[in-house]
Amino acid sequence: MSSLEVWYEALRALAASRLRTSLTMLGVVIGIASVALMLSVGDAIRGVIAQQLKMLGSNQLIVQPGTKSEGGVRRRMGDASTLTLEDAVAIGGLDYVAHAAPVRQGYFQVVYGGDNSNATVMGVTTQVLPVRDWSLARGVFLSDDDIRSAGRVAIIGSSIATEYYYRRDPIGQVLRINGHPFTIIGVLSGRGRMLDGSDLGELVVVPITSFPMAMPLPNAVHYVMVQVGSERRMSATERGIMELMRARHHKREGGRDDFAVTNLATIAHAGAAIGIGVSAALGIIGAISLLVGGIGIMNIMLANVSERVREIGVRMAVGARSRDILEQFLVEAVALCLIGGLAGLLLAFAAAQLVTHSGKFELVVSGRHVAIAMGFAASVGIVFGFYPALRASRLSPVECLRSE
Amino acid sequence: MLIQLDGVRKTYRTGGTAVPVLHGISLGIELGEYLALVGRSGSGKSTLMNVMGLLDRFDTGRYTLGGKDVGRLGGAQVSRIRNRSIGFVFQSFNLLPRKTALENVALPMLYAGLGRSEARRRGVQLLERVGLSGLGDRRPHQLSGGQQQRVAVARAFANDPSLILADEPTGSLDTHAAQSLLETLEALNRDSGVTVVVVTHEPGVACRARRVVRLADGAVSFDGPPSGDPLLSRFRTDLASASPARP
Repeated sequence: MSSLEVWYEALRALAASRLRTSLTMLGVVIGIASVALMLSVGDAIRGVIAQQLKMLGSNQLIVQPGTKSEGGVRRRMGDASTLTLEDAVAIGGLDYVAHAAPVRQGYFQVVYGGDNSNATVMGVTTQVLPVRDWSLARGVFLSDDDIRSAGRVAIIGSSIATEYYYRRDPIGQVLRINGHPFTIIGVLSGRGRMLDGSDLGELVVVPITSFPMAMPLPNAVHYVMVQVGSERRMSATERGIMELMRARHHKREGGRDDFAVTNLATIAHAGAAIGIGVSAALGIIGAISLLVGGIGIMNIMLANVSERVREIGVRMAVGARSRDILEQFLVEAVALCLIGGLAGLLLAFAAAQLVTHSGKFELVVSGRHVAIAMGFAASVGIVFGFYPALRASRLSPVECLRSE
Repeated sequence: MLIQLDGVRKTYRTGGTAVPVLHGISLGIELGEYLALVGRSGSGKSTLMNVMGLLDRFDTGRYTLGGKDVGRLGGAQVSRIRNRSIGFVFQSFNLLPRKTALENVALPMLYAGLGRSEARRRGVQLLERVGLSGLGDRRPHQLSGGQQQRVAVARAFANDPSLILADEPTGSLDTHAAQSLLETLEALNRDSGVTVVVVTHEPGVACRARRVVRLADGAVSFDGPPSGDPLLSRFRTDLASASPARP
């Protein structure tokens, strides 16, 4: 019997008992929906992490003043009394450090022509460009001359450009930060939330030397962004920075440091922890549903076999081999699971649509997820359908034909 | 010789007790014969039919079918012989209830590896031969008992077998349908030269065969023409006196 014929027979047998078929499939439906959603959520999380890391630049450490014991990783800037431009230069001289970019940062009132708003203002050096992987939509970035001469020039985020300079070229316009005038020379491309909560599109970037706020020390900075040459050197470099900073600040190892080094990838991953939890929960639900669904399928297939003993006898009498009978019932179980799998995928698609529509989280059930989920469905059919099919194939034709 | 049985023995073991069913049966059947296997219930005739049909195994002895020793073949080879060389007709028809008449007839051909359309084409011809033209799309429950048994006969002939084993083929039919079915079997035996073995306890059915094999307690107690069997000839006398008008 051709395999096409076997599948046709299986589908007809399933169609003959629709109610039972659909009830049996329920476990598989839920299981496969969970598996597909788990894969989808997993990919979405990886996407978010990758996006954040891309925005931050990869292989980055951040050095901040203060200590971790003062409340873990500090996000708010302002207490920059112990980290200096000279520290940044020294860190930049370490092995494996590609770039060390000192940053002053604050939240200021910014006036664009007649419009008044608040924005995060970053004071940077040219080092920030390779570290943050920024690019410009238009205009030019700050030059070394601008940094040296404390030029009153600014780069604005793309959201600011569209909001305050609608249909006007922002280049050459003057904005005021804390009352100080800055000439706009460039617009950053891209937007999106960064780890410290500020939005790339709503950023104003100026030379660190013309940062419009008095610092506790003339050479103080709020943090230093460190770009490490390779991922494998991250922890070695982290240790190197600790040693260097302790030496420069005259601190002993094991004592109270006045700075903290943070690996940004760790923060990005920690931020995704909820998503990972959801993904794991879906995985557990999926596994349990598939197990229960599989047992249900085994149960129904065993009932199927004993109800159709006479049919099995007739088929054997007219020439079906044991393996034909095995194949028939195995294909029936697999077909049952695949139909359940398809229904589960529809459920997953609907759930993904719902999530995408309701929130900011984009959930996509991709072709790869479909393939993996259907693979799971087929496996459940094979694993749990095998024993009933084997039993059917080992029946004796005489006893089958004798049964009522 | 199509069938050659030599000292075939079979014992059923239920629990601790061994019940012997076949006590060394030796029997030869030629190609094209029309033979009735008779005997009381419990005489072993159904078991013998199952052994001849390779549905059941036997303990000792030798069975050659079409010159081939089939007693110790593996499952797949046995299935192949059942598929290609043997056709079964059962008392209770044993059609698959969810399939149409045509699909039931086509089933052995599908197991023989034929394509669906070819199997259907030949199925239509077979249904025609048993007088069921145009009823191929009916399901078994939409057919009379006689028609269902004709579908079963068509199915038995599906792969041009050399042996038809019919176990009480008229047992569930009324007199008229029974007569008509036997005529069909006889015609197929005559026209295609297939060997037909009919297992029956009805003397009227047995008498139509050219050769009668009577089993008693698992052994052959008579083998010859119906007229020679004392039990059957008494029935024939009764029949002759009851309906003398019969041609």
